[in-house]
Amino acid sequence: MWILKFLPDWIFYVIFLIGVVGIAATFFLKLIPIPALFVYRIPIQIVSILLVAFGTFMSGAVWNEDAWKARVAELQKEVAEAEAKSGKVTVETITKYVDRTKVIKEKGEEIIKHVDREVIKYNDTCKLTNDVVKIHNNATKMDSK
Amino acid sequence: MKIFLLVLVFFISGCARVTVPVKHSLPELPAVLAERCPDLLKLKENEEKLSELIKTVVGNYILYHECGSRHELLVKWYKEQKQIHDSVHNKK
Repeated sequence: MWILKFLPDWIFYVIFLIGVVGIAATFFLKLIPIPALFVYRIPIQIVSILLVAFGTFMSGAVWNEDAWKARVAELQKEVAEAEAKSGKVTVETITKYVDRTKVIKEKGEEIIKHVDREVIKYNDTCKLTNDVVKIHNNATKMDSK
Repeated sequence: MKIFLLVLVFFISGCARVTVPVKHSLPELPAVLAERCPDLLKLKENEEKLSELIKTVVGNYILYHECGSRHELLVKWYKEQKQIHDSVHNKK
């Protein structure tokens, strides 16, 4: 609430107290035998009731503001923790991906070395035809023709 | 009556709800996981060697395993990030 930014909290408690004192004072005014004072009873009562109402409302607003500030601080802490956790997950995932890719490449190279060593022997006896090449290449594009 | 209405509006304004201005958004997807799977390897035209066919097939298996691994980690990454995000914003 904008008013809370300009005024300290204690002012609203003081306003409330002034209101309470004002209402109490109007009860004592009738005990004082001076008629001139009695004339101010009603205006003082009205102003005091307004001060009590305003003081009560603003005390509630101060309490509400404090509750919100506490919630914001709590959420900021949770968000900071979540961001740290989230960054850790991203780093772990990338590391895992790099490791897995390395293993896949190493294993693949091993298999290719084996092919170069063993399958190469059959190159002369088992030649590929153009149809085999075409079917293979079309299959890579999921083309049946 | 007008004063009463003004006072009522003033008091009701105390009930206004405010959204806590703190947000946690899902992080950016790591670039390595966002890469498209590459096109499969093809044999050279007029290729006759059996070993080249096997090597091309093995090369394609390598590409498949790399891409599969990327997809698996992407799904895992998203699930974990969503869980973290929900722990802040969608608490049950």
